[in-house]
Amino acid sequence: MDDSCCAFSLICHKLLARDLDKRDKSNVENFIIDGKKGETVSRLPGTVNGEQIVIQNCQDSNIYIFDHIATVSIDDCINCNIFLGPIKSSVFIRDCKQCRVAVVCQQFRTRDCFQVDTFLLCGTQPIIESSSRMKFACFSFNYSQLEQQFKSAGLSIFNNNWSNIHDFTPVPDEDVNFSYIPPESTLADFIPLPEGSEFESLQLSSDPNTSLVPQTWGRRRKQSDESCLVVFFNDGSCVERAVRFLHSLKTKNSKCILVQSKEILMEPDDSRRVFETESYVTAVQGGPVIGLELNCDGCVALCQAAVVELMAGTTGLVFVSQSPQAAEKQVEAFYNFADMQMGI
Amino acid sequence: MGLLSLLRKLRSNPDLELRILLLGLDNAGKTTLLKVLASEDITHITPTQGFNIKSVQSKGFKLNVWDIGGQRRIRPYWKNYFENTDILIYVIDSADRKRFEETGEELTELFEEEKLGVPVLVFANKQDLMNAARSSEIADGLNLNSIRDRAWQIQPCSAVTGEGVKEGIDWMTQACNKKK
Repeated sequence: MDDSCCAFSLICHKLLARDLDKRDKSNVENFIIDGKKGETVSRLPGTVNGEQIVIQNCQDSNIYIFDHIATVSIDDCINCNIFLGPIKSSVFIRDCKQCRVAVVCQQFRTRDCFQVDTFLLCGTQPIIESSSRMKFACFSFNYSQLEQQFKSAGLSIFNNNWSNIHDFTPVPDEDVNFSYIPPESTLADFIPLPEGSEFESLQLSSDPNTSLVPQTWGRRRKQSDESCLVVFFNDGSCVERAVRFLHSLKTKNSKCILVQSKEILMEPDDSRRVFETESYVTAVQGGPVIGLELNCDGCVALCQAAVVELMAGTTGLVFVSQSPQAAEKQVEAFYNFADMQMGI
Repeated sequence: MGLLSLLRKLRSNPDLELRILLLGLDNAGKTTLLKVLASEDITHITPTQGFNIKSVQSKGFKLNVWDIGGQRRIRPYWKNYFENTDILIYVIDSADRKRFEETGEELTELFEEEKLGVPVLVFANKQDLMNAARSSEIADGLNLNSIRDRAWQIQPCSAVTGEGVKEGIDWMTQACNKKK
C-alpha cells in the first residue's frame, strides 16, 4: 500500500514538473531588457500583460513599461530612467546607481544601491538594504490604461506607504541612507516623457494635478498641528467619492495636504477600537474602507464642510473627526491599526 | 513510558508535531508559501523584518512553521532557530538567476550546520514566471545529487498559483514518518 502510494506521488511530481516546464517561453527575450547603452526602450499596454520583466546591465538609457507586470528585477544599471507600470508582487533593485525610477508595486526592495531616486506607490512597507543616498517621493503619473492596470495588479491607488521606509542597514545617528524629495519637485524633473507617435493614444501625463494616485505628503514634516481623519466606508462607490472629496478640498484650500492614505479591511472589533463607538460596526463589513489624514490649519472644519457638500442627497456613510483634539487620537488609532495589519 | 506519552497514546488522534524551518534569500517567497500553507490571503504581504510563525494541520500532523526574514543583514540570525527543527524547507526564487550562486552558498552553509542535520525540502518557487529555471537545472546548479547525509527533495512550485506546494508537503510528512 505504502509503496504504491509513493510510486503514485512520484509520477505526480514528474507530471507536475513537466507541466510547469511546458509553458511557452519562446519569446522570453521580449521580457528581458539587457545591455542597453544610451537607448530608449518601451513596452506599450498589452505587450507585457502581467508577465515578468528583467532589466539588467543598462547604462544611460530610458526604459518605459506602460503595462501591468508580475514582478521586476533591475540589476547593475547606471544612470537610467525607468518607468514601471503596476507590479503585482515585488520590484527588486540591486547594484544600481544614479538611476531615476517611477514605480507602482506591492513590494519595493533594494540592495547595494547608490543614489536611486524613486517616485513610488507601494502597497506594503518599502525596504532598503546596504543602499545609500536613496531618495523617495510619491508616485505621480497618469495614462489612459493606468487605472485598469492597477486593478489587474490587485493594487489600490489609496494604499500607499511610499515614505514609510524600513532600512535593514541603518547608519547610527545619520540619515545618509535615504531622504525625501522636496514636494515642489515633480516626476517630470527626473524622468522625461518618451517621444513618438506610438505614445499619443496613451495620453501620458506626469502632472501631479492629474495623477491617478492621490499625492501624499508622507513622513515629511507636517505644516500644521491640526489634522483630520476622514474614512469612506465601502458601498461600491467610495473610491470615486474619496477622489471627488480630495478635489473639492484642493479648490477650497490649496494649503490643505493629504498626509497619508490607506485602503484596508476592518473587522467590527477594529472599528470599535479606532472610532470608540458602535456606530460603524455594520459599515466596516461592506469591504475595505478608505482612510485619509488631511492636514492644515482649520482642517477639521474644512473637511466637515466638504463632506456635507459631497454627501448632500446621497446615502453613503463617511466618518469625519468632530474636533482637532479627537482627530489627533483618531488619526493615530487608525494608522496604528493599518500598520499593524500590514505586519500580519 | 512517561505519563505524558502514555496520555498521548490514549488520545484517539495523537498530534504529531513537526517544527519546520522556512529559510531562503529575501524575495524568495517564504511568507507567501507560509500563507498558502495556512490558506490565507497573499495579496498584501510585506517584506519580513523578523520572523512569522504559523501552525497548520496536515494529514494528522501539526506543522509549526517558522518563516525567517532572508535579507543578507539578518541571515546571521538564522542559526538562532536551528534547535529542535524537524525539517528544513529552503525556498529559491527560480527566476532570480543573478542570485543562484548566492542562494547555493547559503544552502551549503546550512548543510554544514551540525544542529541542522534534518531532511531538506527545496522548493524551486516562482515556476509561474517567464524567466524561471527548471527545477532540474537548479538541482544541478546546487549539486544536490551529491547529498548523502540526509533525505532531500527538490520540488518545483508556484506559491502564487499553489501548484506543487501540496506535493512538497506530502514528501515532507512522509520523510518525517520514516524518521519517527
